[in-house]
Amino acid sequence: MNNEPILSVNDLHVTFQTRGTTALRAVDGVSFDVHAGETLGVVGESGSGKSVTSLAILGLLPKRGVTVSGSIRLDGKELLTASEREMLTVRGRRIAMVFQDPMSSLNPVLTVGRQLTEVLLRHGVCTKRAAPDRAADLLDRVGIPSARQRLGNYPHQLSGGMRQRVMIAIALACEPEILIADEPTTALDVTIQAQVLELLMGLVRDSNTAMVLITHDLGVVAGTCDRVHVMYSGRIAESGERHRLFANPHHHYTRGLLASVPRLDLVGGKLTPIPGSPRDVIDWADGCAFAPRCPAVTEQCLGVAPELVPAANGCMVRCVHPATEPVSLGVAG
Amino acid sequence: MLTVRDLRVHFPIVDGLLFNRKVGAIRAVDGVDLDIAQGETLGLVGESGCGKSTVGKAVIRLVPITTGTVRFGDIELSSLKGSELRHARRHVQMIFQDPYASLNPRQNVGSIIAEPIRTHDLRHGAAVGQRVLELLDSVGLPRGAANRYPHEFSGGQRQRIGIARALAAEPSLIVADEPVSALDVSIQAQVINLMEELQEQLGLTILMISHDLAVVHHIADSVAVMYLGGIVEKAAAGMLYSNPLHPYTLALLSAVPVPDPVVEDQRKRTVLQGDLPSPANPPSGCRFRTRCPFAQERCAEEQPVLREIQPGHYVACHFAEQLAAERAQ
Amino acid sequence: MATVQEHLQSLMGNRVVETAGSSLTRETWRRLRANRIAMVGGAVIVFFVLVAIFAPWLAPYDPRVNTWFDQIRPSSVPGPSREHWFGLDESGRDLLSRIIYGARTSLVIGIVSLAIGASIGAIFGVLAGAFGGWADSLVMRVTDVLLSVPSLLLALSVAAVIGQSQTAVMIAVAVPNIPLFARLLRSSMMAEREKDYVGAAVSVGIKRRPLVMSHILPNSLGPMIVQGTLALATAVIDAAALSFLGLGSADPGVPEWGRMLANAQRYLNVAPHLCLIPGFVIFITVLGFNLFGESLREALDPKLRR
Repeated sequence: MNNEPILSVNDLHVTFQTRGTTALRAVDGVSFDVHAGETLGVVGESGSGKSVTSLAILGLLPKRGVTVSGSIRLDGKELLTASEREMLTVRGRRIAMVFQDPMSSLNPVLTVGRQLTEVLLRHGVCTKRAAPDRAADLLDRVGIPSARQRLGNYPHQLSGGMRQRVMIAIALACEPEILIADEPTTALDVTIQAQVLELLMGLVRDSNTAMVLITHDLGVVAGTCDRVHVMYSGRIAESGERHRLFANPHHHYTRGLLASVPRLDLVGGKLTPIPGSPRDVIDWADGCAFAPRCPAVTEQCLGVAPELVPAANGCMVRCVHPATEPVSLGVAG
Repeated sequence: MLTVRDLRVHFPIVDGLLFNRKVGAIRAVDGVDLDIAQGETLGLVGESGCGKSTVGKAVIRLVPITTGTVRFGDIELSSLKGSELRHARRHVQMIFQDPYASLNPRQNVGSIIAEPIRTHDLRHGAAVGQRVLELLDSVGLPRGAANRYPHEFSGGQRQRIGIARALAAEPSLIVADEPVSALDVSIQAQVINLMEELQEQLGLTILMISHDLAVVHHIADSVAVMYLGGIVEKAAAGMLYSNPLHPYTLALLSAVPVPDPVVEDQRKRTVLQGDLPSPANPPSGCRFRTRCPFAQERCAEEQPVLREIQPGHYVACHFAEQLAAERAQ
Repeated sequence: MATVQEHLQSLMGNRVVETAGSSLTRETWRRLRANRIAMVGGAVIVFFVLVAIFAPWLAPYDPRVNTWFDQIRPSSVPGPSREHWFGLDESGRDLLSRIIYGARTSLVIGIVSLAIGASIGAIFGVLAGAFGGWADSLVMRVTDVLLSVPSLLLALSVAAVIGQSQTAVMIAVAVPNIPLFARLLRSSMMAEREKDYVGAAVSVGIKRRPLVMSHILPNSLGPMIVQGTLALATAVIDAAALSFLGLGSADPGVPEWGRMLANAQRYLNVAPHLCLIPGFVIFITVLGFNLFGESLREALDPKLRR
């Protein structure tokens, strides 16, 4: 694996401000790298800024009322200052995105085949004559039976799982370098989720595409990602290689999340929820945003925001006194 | 305490120019038997389209019951009408899935919680207000919430309001329809814990409907798995999760992700192929046969009946014993 | 630990200021106040209403008095001057006073007709929405019939029966509003009926009357209120149009904007102010209602709430 990252996000800030309301710092200083062929997990709840980050990468944020600063470099090329015309060559071709709700991300009045060939022709991947074959081929690759016939189907004629597969097919049509999947399986049933995740993993492995998987589901991340970033209130709270992170998380938020999620493989034990709600935050400028909910909060946590520093387990953590003992869970059932 | 026998809920499909004729039916619930003992929690799990929500709504008579009986204690809920039904409703209350849609946006919280109390004459005069404050305390909300409106609260808080409302009628049975699915992960645990505490304090019987197997695993005493309108497996929670016997349950359990990379790496997944058939046109014989990796001829001809394979463990599969034996090898 | 908590409280207090107990009505009002277009529209409406109410004190002269008839020539009608700010009309009456009193007439016609039409329509709508089934079908067929009657034809027929009068105009304006509001309220209620909070109320065991009155109806009124504001604008225009066609009050002295427009046609080249001023006044009034109504629709939109 090449050591140079293909995507490099540096100190990204995204602020929403409409007239008459206070500014909302959705992304408040996020930096991470994506290397070729790796699967990166971005975990967070509502208000963490994970989806906004992905939209910023693709330049899909609205122009009015939104301020974006920082740097997003794709293979050295700066995306934030790129013109709309340049972004058109990036979207779909070099970075592709799969969204959460396939019904609203697929055009309901166009057939599946038309939406696929549209992407292929837009980026000049093949000739007009060859496009339907390529499209059928793609549908086949994503595991849709009778691919040829399906080209003529409309989105509403397909089930949720199939629609998501079509979305994946469209995303991978031009063989992008990076695939961003924003909660791709959240709206799906768990057995369909397993199918779609298996499909995604296989496809990115075969084509050496990098994948950024954004989700709130720790289980999904544990099974699919190489490295994980945990986001809270617009910044990365903890990040590291997945085994190390899950075995011994240092940030109190990560620990809180793991302790509050009911697990299929463990029996008994009470769930330890994180008190309060994701809305109970303070500005990073005033200290650690997680302070109002943190069980280990001290005076040191307030006043100045903690920096992202290396932790004992080889991960990076944003905390002035991270926890160090491995988490003890319930009895294996 | 709760006994459901042969419950069927069929939604008619109508068509016609002037007069609506019934041309078919969506068999959302197609022969379901349930028993919940007092003070226990039964988890009803399944994926979308299996009919579990419809079962919940049928139990509290929010959707019409086509045939079948629902007995609660010595009240036969399924046959009541009019004011008798209204009076009986206070014993079975529901917690709804969507915290944003289940509260009247024009009513303040105090009035929402007071409504069941007033409707059933459980308190009078100033005692009503007092009871509302007590209920707010019991769900962990500040007393000042009574004067506020639902839109001023977060999802988790609204769900607590919903729980307080359900408790206000002093019910014996609570049907919880996906109570935490719409909430953030860190809030789900709060609400689950709250429900467990309240159940212990008040001796509630709970029918918990959820697609989240891990949550049900945590909270339920016994579990029933539904597929396309029928129950395919039913057992005590521990037994079901450690020794699933129906192929669908096996697939379901193996598909649930676990937040532990070591466990995930070692897992063998049974990934189901294909999609859910339409409930308007279910497959003949065993409803699951179109996706079952072990389907045989008999599965298409004969619908399997829910039978007791092991003590307290019911499975609806012709080959449950054989499959279990094969797995043991 | 106490100081850390206090410190946290003060930091969190800085961020969000919640208004306690803000009902939806208050929220809507707040949003409207923040919307400049809404305020402009609202100001126009308030102005119009005040002019109508205080007409006797505001109008410099009696609108029926035509003392200055001697100043009228076939080819010249005095325009705006210091004694008559809007000039005179073709019969020698003070135009400003007629415009001011005309506001009253329009207001009465518009509001009363609308109120009658909307109320009847609302009753139908509630019956259809609350009971469904045969009540619904019946109401729908009745509204179908009402909708198929062109309002102009209706106005002419009523005028033919009861004679030319303001009442005829009011009936002609009221009737087309009945099916409009009936359908609006019905569809609103049917949509609300499916929502979870209604299911919750049913499961609590409340009776049908409080279910409809406390739960379904209050949440269904939003579209009606918006439609009411916009329908008022249409009512003013329709009343003016019917008067223009000669269907209003038989008394030629009654000041009504539409009638004034009709009478001014002959003088369009000679004294354009006779057309322009009433026309402009109608335009501004209707615009005000429309702006306010549109902004109200936005302010009531629940999607903006979350």
